[in-house]
Amino acid sequence: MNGHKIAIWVAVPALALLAAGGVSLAQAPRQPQALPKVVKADLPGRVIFEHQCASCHGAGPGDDGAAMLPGTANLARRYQGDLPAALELRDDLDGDALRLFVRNGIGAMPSFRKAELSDVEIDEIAAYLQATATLSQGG
Amino acid sequence: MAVLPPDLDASAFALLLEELRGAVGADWVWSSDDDLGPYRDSFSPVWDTAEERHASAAVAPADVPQVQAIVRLAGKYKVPLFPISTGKNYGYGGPSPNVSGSVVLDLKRLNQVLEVDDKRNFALVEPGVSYFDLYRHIEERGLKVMIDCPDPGWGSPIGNSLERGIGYTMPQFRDHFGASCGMEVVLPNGELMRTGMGALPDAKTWQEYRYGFGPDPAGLFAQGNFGIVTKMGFRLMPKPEYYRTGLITVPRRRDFVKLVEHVNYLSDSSMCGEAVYGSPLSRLMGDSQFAALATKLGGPSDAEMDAAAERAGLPSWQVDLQFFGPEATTKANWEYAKDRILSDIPGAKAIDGDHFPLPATEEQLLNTTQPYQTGIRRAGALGVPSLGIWRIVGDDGHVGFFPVLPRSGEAVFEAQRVLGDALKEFPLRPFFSATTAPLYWHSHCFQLVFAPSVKRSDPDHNAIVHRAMKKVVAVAAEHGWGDYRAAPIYQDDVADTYSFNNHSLRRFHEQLKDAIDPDGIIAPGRGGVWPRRFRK
Repeated sequence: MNGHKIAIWVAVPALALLAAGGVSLAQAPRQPQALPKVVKADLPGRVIFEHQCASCHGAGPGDDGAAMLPGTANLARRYQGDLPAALELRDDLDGDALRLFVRNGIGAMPSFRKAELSDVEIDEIAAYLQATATLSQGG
Repeated sequence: MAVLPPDLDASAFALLLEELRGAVGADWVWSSDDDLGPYRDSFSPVWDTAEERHASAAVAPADVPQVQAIVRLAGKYKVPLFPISTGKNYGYGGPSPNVSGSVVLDLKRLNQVLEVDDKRNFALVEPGVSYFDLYRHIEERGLKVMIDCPDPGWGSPIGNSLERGIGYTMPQFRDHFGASCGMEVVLPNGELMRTGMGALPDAKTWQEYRYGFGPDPAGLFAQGNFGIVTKMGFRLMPKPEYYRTGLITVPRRRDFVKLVEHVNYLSDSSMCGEAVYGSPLSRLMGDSQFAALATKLGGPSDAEMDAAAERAGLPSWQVDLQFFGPEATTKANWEYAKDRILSDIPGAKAIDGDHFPLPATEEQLLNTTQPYQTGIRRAGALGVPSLGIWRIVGDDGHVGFFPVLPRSGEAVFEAQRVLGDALKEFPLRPFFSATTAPLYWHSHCFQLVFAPSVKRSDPDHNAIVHRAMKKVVAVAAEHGWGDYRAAPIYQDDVADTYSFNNHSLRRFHEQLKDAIDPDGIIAPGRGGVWPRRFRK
């Protein structure tokens, strides 16, 4: 996906809102999602996380009305509320745990090479996540 | 699974690795199974089968002289190199090579944005720069240019354009290789070459005039294996002042023919950005009776589809249009589009969409302000890199086949029927039906998409996907539709279909390859071009 370009969004217009013979439309209703509160720790891993991980695993909303970013949404489905879906709220991921997923990938998440993300940087991300999770819990 | 380079024994391979470490430093050469794991194709349908391609090692140079040193070492040992940029070519092979035993030349550390000029509107970058990097560079400096990025922003402008990837803004920027201007290449003998005006030592127009003088070999490096691109220029769009969208619907199936002709006119006249086609009837595919009609062998008749549309109270087709520029011209272009199409197609309707000055607010960027659901992905449309598209990636990824079609409604109808019928034997979800809309990515053709998912835990499913991919490539070619891009495991299948005059194009490429790269060290097999040493 152009990389890579597999863009398959099936366009589903809110045509039920189309008045017969007319073109006026009501605003498609969208429910605002309560986003988790994340207090970001000021550590070197913050920028690394933001550049390498946050576009999939950030706590913010996804594109085009999606409630969550793709990685966060996947973890929400996986954990069903037993663990936070946003990585910045996880205080249980050390460098070795992150490395397991980063180097091997899982499901739709591909693996990451040392040329793009070093072991030291993974440890820095882990330190950032733990500190951010603690700060976000008010600890 | 440790593999050795072709025709190299373990002791010679050890010597090569030692010399590579000497060239780039021991920290940047990898050959263990663990370190090479991420160089496998995460989306491979042939994972853990004999057809999977494995690297023997990977090496990550820091600069161009190190790239040259690696190429010379590869020549000394006659070892194939497989260059990657950011290595995110998922769906098309990821970072995995064409030939098992290749050394992956990982260019991620060449990550400098060398220049962005927002008066003459171009950028010059290295291969390890991602769309995210280029976007940040521009935004942090407040530069007045907009990038055109593919769906996942972690890709490389160089890698993506060399794969002939696309984006979602105006026609002259969506074709990323077409929007490139000037490249620097390390040739198979290690020599450095610049194309276009870059060949003139004091020229200041490397990123402005693509051709220089004489033949322009730049095209050989896209989906090719004639050198390693280490710098490349790209034309950029000046940041538009305003953005506007609108939706046109047409009632009958056959209206699509005229709708496409009108949009071709708008696009080729540079009045609109990417037009996103869709069929509102696709929402009925969950109804088994409708799905059976839409996927009927030989295709449904127009009358059958029109009756179904009328019963459902839905138009047959729609197109999302988008306009960039000054507010007044976006408005005028939309008004013109409405008038042109509605006055020609009875029953066509137009719906005003979103419109706002750029840069977009957060809500506008998240596409929550559009007055109807839309097929446009807003971030991409506004040149903002994202990974939001990953939400469509199911199972363990997917492969992709994207046949190039004429920009006509009739061609779409024919391809729906032919490809739909051809794939009926495979127990996969139907990708082609009478509601399948074309992709308008490349600016002067249509494409369709066949992108079945792969499942690492289900080799039987993957084998079905693999067979289906090979069949759809062949059937499409029988009708004059060729794929635009393919993973290494499918590149020979696709290249075989470009066979005019007894494969004269392939034979020409092979003659060039043998002359420029006699030992076949640069990505043998890439693009279906095999050096003599590897030809069967």
